[in-house]
Amino acid sequence: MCSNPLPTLNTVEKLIQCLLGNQVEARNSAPGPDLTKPHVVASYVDDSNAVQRVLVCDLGLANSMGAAMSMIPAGVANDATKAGVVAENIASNLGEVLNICVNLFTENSTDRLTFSNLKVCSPKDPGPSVKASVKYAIDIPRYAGGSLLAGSL
Amino acid sequence: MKVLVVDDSKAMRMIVVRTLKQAGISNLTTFEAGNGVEALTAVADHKPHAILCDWNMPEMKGIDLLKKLRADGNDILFGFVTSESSPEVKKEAEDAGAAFFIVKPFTPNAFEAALTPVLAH
Repeated sequence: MCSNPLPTLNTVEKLIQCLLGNQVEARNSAPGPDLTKPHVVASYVDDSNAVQRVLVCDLGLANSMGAAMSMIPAGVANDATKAGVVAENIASNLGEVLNICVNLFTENSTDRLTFSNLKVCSPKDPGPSVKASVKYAIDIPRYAGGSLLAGSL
Repeated sequence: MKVLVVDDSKAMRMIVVRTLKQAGISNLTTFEAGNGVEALTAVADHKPHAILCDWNMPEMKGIDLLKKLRADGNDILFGFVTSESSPEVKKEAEDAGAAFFIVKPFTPNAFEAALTPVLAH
């Protein structure tokens, strides 16, 4: 059983600011990601490879975070979102962003988690059921924002 | 100073190099490798003074690269820049001979704090 707490608003904002710039803003957001549209699910596993935590984010936010990491134009991210995919040249960056986001779950905890994989999910191909979650909206200057959910299984 | 940056993310290598410059490391020349195997070739080719290395990478992980270098008698200054943050991983790095351990995401201040003491020697 994993005891790592779900991240606070401050933890989320600090980590994403450190990665993508100080002007990134996070705020509480009750609805969370729109699961009726394509969205990205990142899984985090313990040392026995069991998924313990997930991050779920709107596809637009996922493309934006990956693009913003190496200043890929927002238009590339927006076009990929309209097409319902993660852009090829954004996927590697997004993987690194989500890899680093493991530290959203490890603050104040000694239990080791590692990023396992990311998957584009949709109503036809849904992600795992989440037991408990926190939901935030993320705004990245010059890029499309969106919602992020951090959850435990 | 010649520094080899090892990370499987090209964007992260770029960010590490940029942060080294922001941290004020003087006379900096950087080289890059995408995994431990490429890093061994780069060490032989460029003979860097220091290696900044990710932990989890395909082909050869950072810790395996460090152990290989030490087993070969290479005592190059070696530090990790990684998303790993658990005490067990940090201890494994120290035991293998890592001089510093920087957790992603990082700031130029974190680089300065980690590198200044070891570069002074």
